[in-house]
Amino acid sequence: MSSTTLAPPRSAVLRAAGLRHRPALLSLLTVMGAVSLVLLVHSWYLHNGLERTGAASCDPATDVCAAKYKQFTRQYGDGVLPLETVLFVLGGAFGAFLGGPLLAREFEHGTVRFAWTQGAGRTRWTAGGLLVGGGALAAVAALFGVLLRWWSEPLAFKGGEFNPQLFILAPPVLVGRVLVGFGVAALAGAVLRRTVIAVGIGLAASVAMPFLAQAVRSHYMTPLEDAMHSMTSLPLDNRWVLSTWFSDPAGTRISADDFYNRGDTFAQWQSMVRDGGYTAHEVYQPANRFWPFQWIEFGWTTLLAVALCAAAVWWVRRRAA
Amino acid sequence: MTTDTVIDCGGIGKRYRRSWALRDCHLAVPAGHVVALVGPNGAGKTTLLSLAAGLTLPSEGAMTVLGDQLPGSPRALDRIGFVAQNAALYPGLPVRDLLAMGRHLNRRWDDARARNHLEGLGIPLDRKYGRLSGGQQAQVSLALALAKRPELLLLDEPLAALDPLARHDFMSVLLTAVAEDGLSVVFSSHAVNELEQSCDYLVVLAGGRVQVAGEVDDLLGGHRMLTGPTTEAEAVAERLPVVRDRRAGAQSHLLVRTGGVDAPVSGEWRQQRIGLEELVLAYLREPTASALPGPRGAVVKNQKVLS
Repeated sequence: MSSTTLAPPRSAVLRAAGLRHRPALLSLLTVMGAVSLVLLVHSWYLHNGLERTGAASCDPATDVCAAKYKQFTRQYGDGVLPLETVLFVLGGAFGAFLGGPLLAREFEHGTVRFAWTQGAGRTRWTAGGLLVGGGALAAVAALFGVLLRWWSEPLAFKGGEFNPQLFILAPPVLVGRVLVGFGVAALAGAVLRRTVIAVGIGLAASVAMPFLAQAVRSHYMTPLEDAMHSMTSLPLDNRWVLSTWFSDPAGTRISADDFYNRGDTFAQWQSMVRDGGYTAHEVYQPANRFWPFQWIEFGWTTLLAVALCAAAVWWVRRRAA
Repeated sequence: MTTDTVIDCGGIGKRYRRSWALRDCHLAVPAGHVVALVGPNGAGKTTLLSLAAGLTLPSEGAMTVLGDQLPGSPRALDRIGFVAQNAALYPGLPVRDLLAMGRHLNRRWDDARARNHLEGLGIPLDRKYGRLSGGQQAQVSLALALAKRPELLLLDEPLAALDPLARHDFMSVLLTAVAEDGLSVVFSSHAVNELEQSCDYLVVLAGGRVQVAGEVDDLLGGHRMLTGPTTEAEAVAERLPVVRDRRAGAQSHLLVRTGGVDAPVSGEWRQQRIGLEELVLAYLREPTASALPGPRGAVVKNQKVLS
């Protein structure tokens, strides 16, 4: 047969997987497009508000500027909290919505019996599907992360970028988190073979991820320490303050309780550290570690996601249809 | 081609949780046949086909396909076409994309054949699979399987959901492909009355075991229905291997295996050949009787053979 083709290229499985998942990827793009449009409008509104109240251009160290920022949040900040909550959940949700059906629906619809009996075999088919789904997801999440970062810029003026709500919206961490949701949902789908349950498990994982990451985040790099002779943190460099401890005039470490027992009011404590020889030690991660921390978190979450996908492929290999 | 058997298994078994879908199953299907796999629901037909397609692994024993290939191995997947029950494919994809998927996923692929097949039946390639009729969906599945130019085509209940016209169309495409390519076909079916025109090899499964296996002509030639007086029935039944024994008041009907010759009966006894449907039904009603071919896969239990 002259028309019989032999030996398709290796990338052919990916092209087949692309055809198979195109409807799901198109709906993902549609939903993300709609959400992005809302965010775009709201971002413009926030940035505009920041300009109008003058909080964008003033020196953040001054009281006047703080008042301006306060006015900005009062006037424009109504929609921020609900949106932040929605984004917190949604941030990982779309990974679960793509990953859950990826394998589970094949079992539910019985299409495995077609897909697994083709020449490419079940391993390459499953791996190809996960690669296409995960790759598209990472690209969409990265773009969405860029938009989210622009949206969250006005909110980072106060409290810095290490704010746990905002830290997870930057592209690297968002991509990692979405991929973990995707991997968990895909593995659950391979094992349990039920789309709804797989998506649910993926959603739960993607909501739990930020809490887990927050718990370990401060240990990515050894924190720095500043000796201070003031009760208020003076440098306004958006550092991430982890804890504060005190030492007495002799230089020995005393507990915070002990320190606070030696005075009654803020003014007394302030004079103790300013004039009385006591020292406040601030343990912190400097603001310039923001991007290293982003990439460290991206690294381990992405590795976790890859491991989950590999486990799904392994499961499909060893389990019968 | 060195392939002499398309499915060969000795003592294969498959267990789902606690119950055995197939047990101690011996079968050697020679190449070049259209094989009908019949049996009641739950007899293990789908399990046997899934094992041959490499979708599932046996719990005990081993199976080879196309001579010495392991089911599910890359070489076997290339050479075997499989059409699943209800012909399930991705409902949201247009037929064109399904063909493209097949092209990308197989080393051997004849795109023109699939297109000619579907265009000949007037199935629009831009229609989504889920919006096709049951008969058209079955044809798309068949076109995808045949485009691989398989040496063995496995079909699981391909006719079950089709109306008579669609059945006829399906079988005619299938038999044309058999005539053109000389491929071997194994299909499972409930429609015992339609088998005679389409298959030339029969496998009857019952309770997870192979009860009958053989070429249709041999099976039909090797059985006789004896009709005679009930008073002499006992004597005849003692001498001959009886598959099915029905005794009425005066007359008795004995289905016996004769090994291709007429049964040595005389007097008031008459004998006649029977049809395939009657043969299958007789065996299905007598689960302990069996008719199996020679050295490979023979079960001796319960078997009296006329020599």
